[in-house]
Amino acid sequence: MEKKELMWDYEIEGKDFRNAGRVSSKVKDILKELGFDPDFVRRVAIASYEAEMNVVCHADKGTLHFAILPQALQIVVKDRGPGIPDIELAMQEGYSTAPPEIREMGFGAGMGLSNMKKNADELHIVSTVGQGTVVEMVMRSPRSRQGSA
Amino acid sequence: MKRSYGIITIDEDKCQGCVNCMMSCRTEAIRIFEGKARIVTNRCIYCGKCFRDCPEHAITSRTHGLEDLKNFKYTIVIPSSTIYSQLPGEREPNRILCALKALGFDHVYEEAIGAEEASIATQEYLKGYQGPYPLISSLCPAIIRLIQIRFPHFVDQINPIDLPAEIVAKDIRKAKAKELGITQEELGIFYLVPCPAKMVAVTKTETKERSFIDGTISIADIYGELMAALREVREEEGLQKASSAGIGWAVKGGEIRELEPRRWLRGDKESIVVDGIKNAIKVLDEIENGKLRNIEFIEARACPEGCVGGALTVADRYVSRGRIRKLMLSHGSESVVDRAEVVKRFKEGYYFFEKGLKPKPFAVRLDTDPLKAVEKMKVRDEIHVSLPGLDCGACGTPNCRAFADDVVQGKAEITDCIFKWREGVKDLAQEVMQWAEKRPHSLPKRGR
Ligand SMILES: Nc1ncnc2c1ncn2[C@@H]1O[C@H](COP(=O)(O)OP(=O)(O)OP(=O)(O)O)[C@@H](O)[C@H]1O
Ligand code: SF4
Ligand code: SF4
Ligand SMILES: [Mg+2]
Repeated sequence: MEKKELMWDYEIEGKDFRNAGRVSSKVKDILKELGFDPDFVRRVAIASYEAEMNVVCHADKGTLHFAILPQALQIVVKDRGPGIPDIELAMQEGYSTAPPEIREMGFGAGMGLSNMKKNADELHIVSTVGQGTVVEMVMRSPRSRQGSA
Repeated sequence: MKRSYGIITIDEDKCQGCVNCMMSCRTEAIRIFEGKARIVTNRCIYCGKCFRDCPEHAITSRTHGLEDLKNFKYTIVIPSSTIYSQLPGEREPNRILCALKALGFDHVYEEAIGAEEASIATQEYLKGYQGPYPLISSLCPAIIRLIQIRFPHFVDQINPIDLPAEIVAKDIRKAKAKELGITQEELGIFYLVPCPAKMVAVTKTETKERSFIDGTISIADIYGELMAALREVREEEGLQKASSAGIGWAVKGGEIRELEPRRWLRGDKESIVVDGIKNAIKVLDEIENGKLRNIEFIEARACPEGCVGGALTVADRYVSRGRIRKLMLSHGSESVVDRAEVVKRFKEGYYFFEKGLKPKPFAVRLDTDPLKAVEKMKVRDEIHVSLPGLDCGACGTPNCRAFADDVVQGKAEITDCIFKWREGVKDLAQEVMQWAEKRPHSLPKRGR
């Protein structure tokens, strides 16, 4: 069950490279302030940054929703954009459709999705070509990890 | 009255509560309380920036002075390489060391020799280093503390090679006591420092049980005497031995300069030199966010231009940097340090911290109950939005966000904000007016 107090919603603008990274930085600050384990915070920061950047690089507009659940953290990044025709292919390290101007800015190595997979405990992607993409990540906090191990 | 915060002291008779220090502190460690500056020590990184920005010179730091020399049978001074940049004109480094010795020390050993050793040790360490990246320089203790407090998970990425001055002290301590036939307690080793951060790093060392150094002395404290002694130097003895490689550590980039040639750094990644706390925070933040990638090594210095900009130096930092650079050009790279010997000792573990650094995260911790903490956080954000956002400092906190933090934690009242206070007064005045309109029904109505 989600408690409203433990949820945050942010908007992400496509192609706005100046503000890119702000939303994931906010997520990071909140978790740091709440005293989450530093390594956990770092994993969340990296995963949410990659998801945010994919909206900035590849889509038109999106939102990031994150929620602190009793045993885990949930991050949902939704966008309106071209969608991903072949998710399995997109997941492969090094696969990227980023145009040259985005590559010039240091993105488009095709590492984002695999980076998310590495850092999140669960990664679900649902995408409709021509409409948009939903990326959901679940990160179990270190305490619950120990508990379940 | 003087109030102490570890090695830092604020002279409250001089402090005017002007907010300059509070606004300049990059870690938001200062508050103004009842008209005087106070330091929140678990936020302070001992950079000394506030010393320079206080117009009243009310903030200082000190651990030892020349009067402490008399407690030892034999005394040695290890001057920070910044000393070569501090005296006007083209003073010969060797003359400066002779003058320093004349202040009452029995011997002088340069920190720069330790820097040369540290440099070789770091090169060796890099050979086997596999990550995580970036590796972060350990030479600025203020930056180390910033990482412990604000970027705790980077603590393991700090280069575990000891401070150059500690290396020198370790090199000479035992041998010198033996040579002189005195106990190690009778031997006093003092480190002449450019900053409070190094004072803390030595006197409250966290990387070993006990420092090899007995005390620290500020360059600024002995500056006048050193100038006078310099005029008196007649005969010079050869004290200056370090090469450009070690002296260069006084300025930003001096460390990386020795790592770049011969591919000690891999070169397929970037390495960064960053100076100033604000810039260092920005770079570390961007690395943490995943925005800056592929960085192999960071040399970060709290002071602009490097240690020549330290809070306990005297000369202008830009002039000082120029002087060091000139010395680097005029001094050869030929070194008295025996590379093979350093490599051998490195393999024996001689240069490493004895104890690992620990993270010291400073989470504001609004509440121990996470649910309540989040609630408070949201209230805090609402308060923040309701404030004028001028970051004027009149409330005694460095900015509106920090003020909202203090309010929600009960450390400040909303009316400490003069704008909120004025709103309150206005509301009150209106209420008073309404009361003034009212008349007892026993009296005739107005206007008659
Ligand atoms: N939100 C999205 N909308 C549309 N396409 C996407 C989206 N996210 C990813 N893709 C597609 O998947 C590919 C791979 O994504 P991934 O994040 O792994 O790499 P990248 O974004 O191209 O490069 P990098 O993340 O290394 O900067 C992208 O090039 C793009 O074609
Ligand atoms: S020494 Fe540095 S961190 Fe400490 S209060 Fe002064 S400016 Fe802030
Ligand atoms: S840059 Fe040098 S002088 Fe400045 S705080 Fe760091 S170690 Fe001290
Ligand atoms: Mg990507």
